[in-house]
Amino acid sequence: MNQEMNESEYQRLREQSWRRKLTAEEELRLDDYWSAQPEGESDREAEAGLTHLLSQLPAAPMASNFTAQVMRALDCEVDAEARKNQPGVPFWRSFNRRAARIAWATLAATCVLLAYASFQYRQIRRAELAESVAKISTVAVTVRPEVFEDFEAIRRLSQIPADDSELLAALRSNN
Amino acid sequence: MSTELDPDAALMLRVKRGDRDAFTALVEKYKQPVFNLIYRTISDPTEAEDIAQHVFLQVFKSAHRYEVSAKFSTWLYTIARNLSLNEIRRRSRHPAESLDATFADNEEQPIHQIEDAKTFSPPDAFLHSELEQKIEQALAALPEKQRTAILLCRNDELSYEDISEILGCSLSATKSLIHRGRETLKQKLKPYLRTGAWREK
Repeated sequence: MNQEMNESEYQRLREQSWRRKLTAEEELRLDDYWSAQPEGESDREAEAGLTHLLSQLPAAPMASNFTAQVMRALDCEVDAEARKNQPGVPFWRSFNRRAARIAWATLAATCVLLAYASFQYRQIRRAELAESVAKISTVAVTVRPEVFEDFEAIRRLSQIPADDSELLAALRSNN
Repeated sequence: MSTELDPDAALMLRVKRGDRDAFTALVEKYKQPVFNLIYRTISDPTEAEDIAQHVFLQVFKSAHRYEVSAKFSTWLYTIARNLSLNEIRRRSRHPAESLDATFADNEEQPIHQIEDAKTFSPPDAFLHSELEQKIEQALAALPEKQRTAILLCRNDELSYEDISEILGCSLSATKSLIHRGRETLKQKLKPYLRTGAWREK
């Protein structure tokens, strides 16, 4: 039981030695513990040596103006924050600018559309004209000019004369 | 915890009200221990300094969220550890990216000031000793939690409860981390520890 007590006390003292230098009294009690266990002498040496080395670890080398750098960085952060919160262009002005941009864009789009429509219309008209010319040229090729010599006689033939009622009556009476 | 008991909390209350002198006092007090922890976590002095700067900026920006009931140093080291781990994650995702590369061509960048600062350093006799290099290497080879626990353990201001809060694990798990880390260190440094070479330092 006493040994167990010593063990737990040893653990406590050991944990304390990891964090801080032990008092003279604590050192003595630890010496007592170790003197009862001569086989653990090398462990004791290693434990004490490591504690000593860890306590002697040098400070990592850092810039002498570190604090000034931090304060400068802080100023930059504060400035950036202030700029972010600063009121920018008034809403109505930005709205006007936006409206003007939209109007210009709409106008440009309309112009492009009109130009395209006009081009398409002219293309279609040109195609129709070309078709008409093609038809006329076909007629011109198939009808020879001599045909038009008897044009008047032919035209008259197509005019159907009014009914000759006198002749019809004479024919009926003969029958 | 009352502000009378923790002077850092009193300073933080002043920082909360926008007091820059109080903030400067906190930076002055904690810059070296915070930098030590970050430097030994990411092993790059330039980036460690950059992260340490971010830690303090974060403290200033989050001052309004700071609760007096929380111990300032615990809160500060938690921020420092989280930002260091973020950097490690960023490096693992983008291994080719480096701040050194980004600023390499710019003569005006603070990186050069930091490099100059390396010229003043702890006593050469200890800094350049083989033993010191060995212990730094052995520490660097430890798992992150074990290393952080051991490094924080050296800080008188932090109790085991504080360390467990920073690491986000139980008290017994924290002690176990320290114990396992120390055992690994003892194994690696056995030749130096057993011969008593450390006593000369």
